Amino acid sequence: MRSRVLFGIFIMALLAFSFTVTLTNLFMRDITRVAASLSLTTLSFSGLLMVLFIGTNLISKDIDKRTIYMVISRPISRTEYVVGKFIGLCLLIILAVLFLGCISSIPVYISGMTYDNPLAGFKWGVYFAAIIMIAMKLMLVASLIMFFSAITSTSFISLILTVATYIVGSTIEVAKGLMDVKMEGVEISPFMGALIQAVYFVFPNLSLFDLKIQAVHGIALSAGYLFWICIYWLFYTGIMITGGALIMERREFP
Amino acid sequence: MRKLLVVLLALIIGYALAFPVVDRYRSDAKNAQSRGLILPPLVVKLLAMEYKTVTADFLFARASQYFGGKITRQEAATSIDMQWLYSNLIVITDLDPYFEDPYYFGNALLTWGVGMYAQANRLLEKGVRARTWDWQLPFYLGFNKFYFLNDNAGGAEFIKIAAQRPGAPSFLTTLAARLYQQGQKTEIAVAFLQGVIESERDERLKVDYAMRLDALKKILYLERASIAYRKKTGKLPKDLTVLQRDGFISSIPADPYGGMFYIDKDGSIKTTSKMANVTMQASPEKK
Repeated sequence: MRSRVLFGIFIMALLAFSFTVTLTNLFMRDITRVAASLSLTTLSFSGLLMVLFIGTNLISKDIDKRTIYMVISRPISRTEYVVGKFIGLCLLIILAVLFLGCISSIPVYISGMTYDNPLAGFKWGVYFAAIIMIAMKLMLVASLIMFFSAITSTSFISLILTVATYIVGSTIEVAKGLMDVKMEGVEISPFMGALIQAVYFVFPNLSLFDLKIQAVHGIALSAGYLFWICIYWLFYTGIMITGGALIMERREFP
Repeated sequence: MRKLLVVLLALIIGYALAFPVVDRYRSDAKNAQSRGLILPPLVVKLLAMEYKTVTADFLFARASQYFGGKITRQEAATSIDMQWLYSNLIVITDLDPYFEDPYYFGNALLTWGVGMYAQANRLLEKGVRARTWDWQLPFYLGFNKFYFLNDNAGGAEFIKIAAQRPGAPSFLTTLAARLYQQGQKTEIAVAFLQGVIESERDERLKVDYAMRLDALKKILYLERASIAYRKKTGKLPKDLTVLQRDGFISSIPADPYGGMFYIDKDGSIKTTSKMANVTMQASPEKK
């Protein structure tokens, strides 16, 4: 807990969790759903802040402050350096999500006790599956940071690039859906269509990992879906880390 | 140093003086558009990114606070208010089609006294499709079709759907059968509401429903008296006092919603309150 950023984000998350039960009073029946929605959003958002603020400083700060020379003069390869940083960040993500995830379930549990709605479909199994997916999404964002840190020299630029990719990744599915709907009177040029298709392929589809709607209503997803998004995750983070390592290997430090 | 302190003090005083003025202007500006902006569902979906459920929460809380305020201040809602509510609920249920509250709230506000049955039913149909485990939404939809739109067959169809869903009360099956018989509208409505009250667990809502049931039972009482009058005299009673005068009823009951019961041109019993907590103003709001 040496990092002040981490401390601040945790305090923010804990405050948000403690407000959740009060906020559910604004709703009528689906109380558990609202509590679960607020809890998962807090968890996901504070996790994202944590990854962005800590992750972008991991490599870029080494380059910025030239402490990277200490590392590259040691008998470890640059690939090991990038992979090591990534694994460290992943461990932090797992610990933080585990901690916040357990705390996030408290307001959900309390809300379930205060108002017993027989029509609520909430299930703890799906809730925790959604939390695991949040951790996976954060690790994917961490791999993006590693990649962008390798190609840029300042932490600010890698932060901007990661945030931009995150936004594109979170919206691309809806944007593509817009194109597929084919509204009357709206013509989408073939070029635009191809561009969206290309963006859809290149950028990470973060909506895959967003199981909040399923989690708050207890709608279980097939094992096949969960398996294939794990495969997607494995390839995407793999490409980002390998790509980042490759660039680092070839990069010249002034 | 002293100069700076004086300047600072002057600025703080100026700020303190300006603050209430700014606040007043701001609250005027807010009141002018207090309902809040609605963007097209697809745009909201795009902007909400991975925060769709919480955006739905926010939009719903905003709408329910706006109407909750109107109800506590006993203000009538305008047709623009109601259109705003409906558009909001469409956006919310696009963001999270499984969210129970917007369907429930929309059905409660858009029907009684407001008459936006088509919109309420469209909303409920969306809920019936998404919430496949929920028997209440098809039940409400069936009730709307039967009671407000006089569509008994359409009503029965949805009551049957409701009856097949998990946890559905047993009275639904007999209710669906009764709907196929024409007439007896108020009797069936009373049976509907008795069923609703039995299955409702929220005490506040139970009180609400009990009030509606009370009103409907009074209407049923007056209807039966009116039918008896017609059988005896061969014509419709002119008004309710006639029924009282000729001994068909001992007294004209009071409408629990604060309105007055009366006999409509077609002979049916109505009330001036329309049995609604929120009523719509006669003239639409000026833009």
